[in-house]
Amino acid sequence: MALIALILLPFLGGIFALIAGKAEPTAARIVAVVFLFCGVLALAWTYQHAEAGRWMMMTREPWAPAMGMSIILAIDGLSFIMVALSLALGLLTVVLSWNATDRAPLLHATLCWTVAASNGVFLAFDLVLLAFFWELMLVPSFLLIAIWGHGDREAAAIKFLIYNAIAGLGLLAAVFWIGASGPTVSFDAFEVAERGLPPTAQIWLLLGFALAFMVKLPVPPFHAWLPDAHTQAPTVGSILLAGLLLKTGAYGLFRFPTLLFPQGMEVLAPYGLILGAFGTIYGALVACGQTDAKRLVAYTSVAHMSVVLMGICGGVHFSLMGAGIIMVAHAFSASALFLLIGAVYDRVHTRDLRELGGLQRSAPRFAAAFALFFSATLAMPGTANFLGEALVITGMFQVNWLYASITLVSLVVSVVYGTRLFQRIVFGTPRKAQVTVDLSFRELGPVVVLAIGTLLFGVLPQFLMTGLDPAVNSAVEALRAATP
Amino acid sequence: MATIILFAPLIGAILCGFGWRIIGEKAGQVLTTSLVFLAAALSWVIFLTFDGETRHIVLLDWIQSGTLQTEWAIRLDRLTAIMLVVVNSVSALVHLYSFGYMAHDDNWHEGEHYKARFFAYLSFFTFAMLMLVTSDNLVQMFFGWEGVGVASYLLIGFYYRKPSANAAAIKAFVVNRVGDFGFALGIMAIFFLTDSIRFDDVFAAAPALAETNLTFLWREWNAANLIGVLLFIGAMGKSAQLGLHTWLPDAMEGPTPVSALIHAATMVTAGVFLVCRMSPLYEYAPDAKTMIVIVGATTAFFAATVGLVQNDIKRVIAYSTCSQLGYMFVAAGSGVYSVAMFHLFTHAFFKAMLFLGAGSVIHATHHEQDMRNYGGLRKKIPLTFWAMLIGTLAITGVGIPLTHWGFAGFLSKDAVIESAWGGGSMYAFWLLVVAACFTSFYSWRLMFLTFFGTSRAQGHDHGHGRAAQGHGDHGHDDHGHEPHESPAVMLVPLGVLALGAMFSGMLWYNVFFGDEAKLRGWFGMEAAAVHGTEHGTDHAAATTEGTDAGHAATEGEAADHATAPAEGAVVATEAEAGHEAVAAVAGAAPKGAIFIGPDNHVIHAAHEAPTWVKVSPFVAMVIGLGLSWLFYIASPGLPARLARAQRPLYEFLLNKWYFDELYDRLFVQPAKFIGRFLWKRGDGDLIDGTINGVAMGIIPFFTRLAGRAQSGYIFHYAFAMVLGIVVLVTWMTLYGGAR
Repeated sequence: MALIALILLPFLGGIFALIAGKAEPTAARIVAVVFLFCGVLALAWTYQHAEAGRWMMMTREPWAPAMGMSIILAIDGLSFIMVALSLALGLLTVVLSWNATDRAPLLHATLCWTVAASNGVFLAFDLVLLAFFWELMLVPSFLLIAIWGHGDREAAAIKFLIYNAIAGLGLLAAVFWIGASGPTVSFDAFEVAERGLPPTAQIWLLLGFALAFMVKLPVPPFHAWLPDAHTQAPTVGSILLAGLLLKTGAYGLFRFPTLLFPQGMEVLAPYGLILGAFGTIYGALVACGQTDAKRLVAYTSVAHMSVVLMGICGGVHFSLMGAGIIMVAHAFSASALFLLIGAVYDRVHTRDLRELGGLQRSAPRFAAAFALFFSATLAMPGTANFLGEALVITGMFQVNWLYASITLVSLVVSVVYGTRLFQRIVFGTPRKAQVTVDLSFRELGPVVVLAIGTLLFGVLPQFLMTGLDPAVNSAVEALRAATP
Repeated sequence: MATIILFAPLIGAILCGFGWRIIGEKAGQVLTTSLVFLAAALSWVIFLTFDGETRHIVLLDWIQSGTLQTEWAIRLDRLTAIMLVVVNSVSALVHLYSFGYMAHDDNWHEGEHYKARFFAYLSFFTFAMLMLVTSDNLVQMFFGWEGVGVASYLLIGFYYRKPSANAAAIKAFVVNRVGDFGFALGIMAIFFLTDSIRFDDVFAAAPALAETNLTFLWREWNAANLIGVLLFIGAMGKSAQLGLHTWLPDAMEGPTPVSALIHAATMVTAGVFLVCRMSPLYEYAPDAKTMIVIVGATTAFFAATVGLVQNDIKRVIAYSTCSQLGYMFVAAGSGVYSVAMFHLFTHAFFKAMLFLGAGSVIHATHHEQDMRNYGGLRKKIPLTFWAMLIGTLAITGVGIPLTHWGFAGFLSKDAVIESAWGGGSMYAFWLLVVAACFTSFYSWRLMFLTFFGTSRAQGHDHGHGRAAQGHGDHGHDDHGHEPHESPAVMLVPLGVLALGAMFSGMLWYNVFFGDEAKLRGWFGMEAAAVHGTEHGTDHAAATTEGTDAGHAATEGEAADHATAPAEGAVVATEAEAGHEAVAAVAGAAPKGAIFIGPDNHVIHAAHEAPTWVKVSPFVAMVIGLGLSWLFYIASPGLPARLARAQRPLYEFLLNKWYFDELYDRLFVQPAKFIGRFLWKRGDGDLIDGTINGVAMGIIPFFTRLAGRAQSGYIFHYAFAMVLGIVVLVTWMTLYGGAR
């Protein structure tokens, strides 16, 4: 039941926030925080009552037995980490938008729903349920961009939606096929995995799944929605996009291909590696050419998530472990950068790198935070990002030295865009826009939390690694068993 | 104690960096400085009392994943002890010096707080550097390696309002990252082959690596050589060796104390330290060593030639640093790691002092850095003059030939040159001798231009300096400031370093180079006596930390050879990650901080060098001094005439062999172009264009939606989506799964 609560609590939190907001606009945010915090408690409860074995907890409730559908939720270290991330980012965004004035209750409700839907993705093991949450996730994100965005927000929102909805069709089609393929209709992922799918079908089904996941990840050439969505989204929207939505794509790739289609993965993984290698260089190079700070960070996300794809397709212990760590590390660092850039934008209404500058002088707290997260983006040792990248590259070296070299090249390029972002904002003299107000304590709180996360998991990653271990091991074993 | 040394600067950096508003700027400065002084004092205690036995102090677990087992740990051996002294002593003195140097700075407006930030950065750098030198495994070393890179980046860009400083900071970072590319690949390759990144395991596996081949760049390589070269590429980046040197002169944009600490004494020597640290590996990588010698010698020569004609006082010293680093690499590549460390050790003192002296000159002349605008400063700032004179005597290598009496550089540089001769590379030997002549020339040129002659101060005229000399007037700069001697906080560090520049060579000559038996004892190596091989049967012991595991003293034949690491049974354990561990741990790591292979007789050969070899650097030095005197004291018109007569050569040297221009054409411009091109054409036209075309053309449904959304029906649209999903689920529930 605790697993259901993990999805239901944020969802109800959104509804109650909306209701409470009707009566008293400021009540909405408190309701949202309370429900999200209850979600955290529920998560703690699952940790306390975790069972030994592959899955910490599993829930099966009948839904439509005749159709082979049931509510199957399961949690292991990977899902646990992702759900924790989602709740944490949910809380963080509510705190950040504490004093929002524009339709605040709806905003807080939307944030809660985003958390609820992505928790659903992280926990669902009934494939229809998975597809349901997958599509559901689009709605609140769409609203975030379309209602509270900047500039050409509708176009960006529509673009986001078209890309992801169409890609979602791939997932949906594959799910239907799987459901109908067995002796009895069943969407139970574990049962399907047990039964095994015909190898040729696996390739096609994997392509369907991968389409949905890779657009969400996103990997070039499926990434074109991301820069626009990030640029136009409000700060909290960017944080949830980078910290959560991209991670659902990564999570999907991490979990389902090796669970359901190990043989298909065996065939397609090399292509994934090529795509990832291309993506990481491409994203890094394009990031170097950006003038909009948010757009720049968006492209760095493309580069880093491509590394995640490489790690997953590498299929060895280190690369998968590294991919898992980057998922967390990038959620912290990218969220923090979006937060900081958003805070700059709130003050001077520009994100243009040609107009900013001189933050070091006028806003030292800003500058210090920028310095830390810019180092994280560059994968400096001591940050969790380094650990992730280093493990992926180590794994790549076992697969093929060429991929390891390419990833390292992207790290060289990362210095170019990283220093550009950092120096244009922090160094120099203010060109047009002068930031005079330093980070407020309400902004500083989330920044400090993200900073602690980045450094803690960089220096003492054991908790993270122990958590990821079962998922990594079963992926490796599944691939090994699939190798002819 | 090592733990205190390691973390004292970090604590200082954190308290000062984040807490100076609470404790006050002055208190922050005092705090960081005293903590580093504490670390320095403890370092000397360790250095002087250390018995040579390697110790491992494990602090925390770090990465435990599969076969990768890494701790945060301190490795305490002779190399570490040397580096601790170098880093902490120079850092402490530079902290102290900065009290004076940074007290007033024209780069900042009135009331701006920059000092606390500066001291916090300095302390953070010190911490990262200590992390680098104390690390017990390659990944932790990489942590320090990158950490000093960040600190260096922040400090080069410290005057963040200056565009030139910003550009220099980026350049340093990017070029270093290129080097790190090699370093990281090297670490990966080591881990791939040995399944460990702990130094002891890697060292133990080194003989097996020499027997292994590895496919890289589409061909087979000898693993030990390949790894050696990759690691050296990292070292080249950090230590500014030819090809990756372009960042170092530009790094002089940072404040002068930073140049002294980071870009002269400590960080740039990290590459040399890396090669010495990995000596057990390099002893099995002859080709990599050859490459090191060639690159080192070429750099020493190249940088010295460029140094001949530079006019910025700091750039002259920067090129001199680059050149001296080349010397160290030649020694290391020749297999005489102790001499590389010796030169590193002495160089830290005299080069830091030259930089701090230059800082004192710059301070005295109100941030004038062009030597053409100096002159006659000997009387104005006599103490600085004496300090610089000692530094110059040290770097040029003044001493009594064929004895062991002389300034620090005399002993260490001559040891390097003799090692080059002993190593058998005539190319390196002759280049180093010529470079020694150039070193002497440009060092004395600096002295003569700065302290002798008459003042050429012209306000801030940066025009043609030679022309300025013609005026010969005694008028000082427009501000009417007389050059003034620096305060005591700046002169005391100079004095302390001067002691080092005078005596450090003579005091430690024997243990670094002079006496092979003492050297072995000092570095904790086993005496060059009877050694046998222990066949690695005891794997439990071999895989643990035990440097002293094994080494059963069975009878061996090679009487004058060093430890021969057990070649033992190579056990191919199945690695968890699925690859075959080519070289599972074979035997134990050799004892001691450095390792001298059984076939390495270079020290012996260097000791046996003929007299003309031993005298040659001294002769070269005298020639350089003579020429310099001729050019800048006896007939001051000569340099200008020579420059006119040899215009192309002069331009070539003045423009630093056109490396910057070449790189700009080769890498910077194309990269910029590609980035822009991909974004505009690739992202904009190709991907967006195609997909939008498809979406908007073939599916008019979406365009209608888009139109409606733009007219404000967002809610309707979102609601329709939710509705759609609900309908879908209902349909699924009722009919969906039915066949």
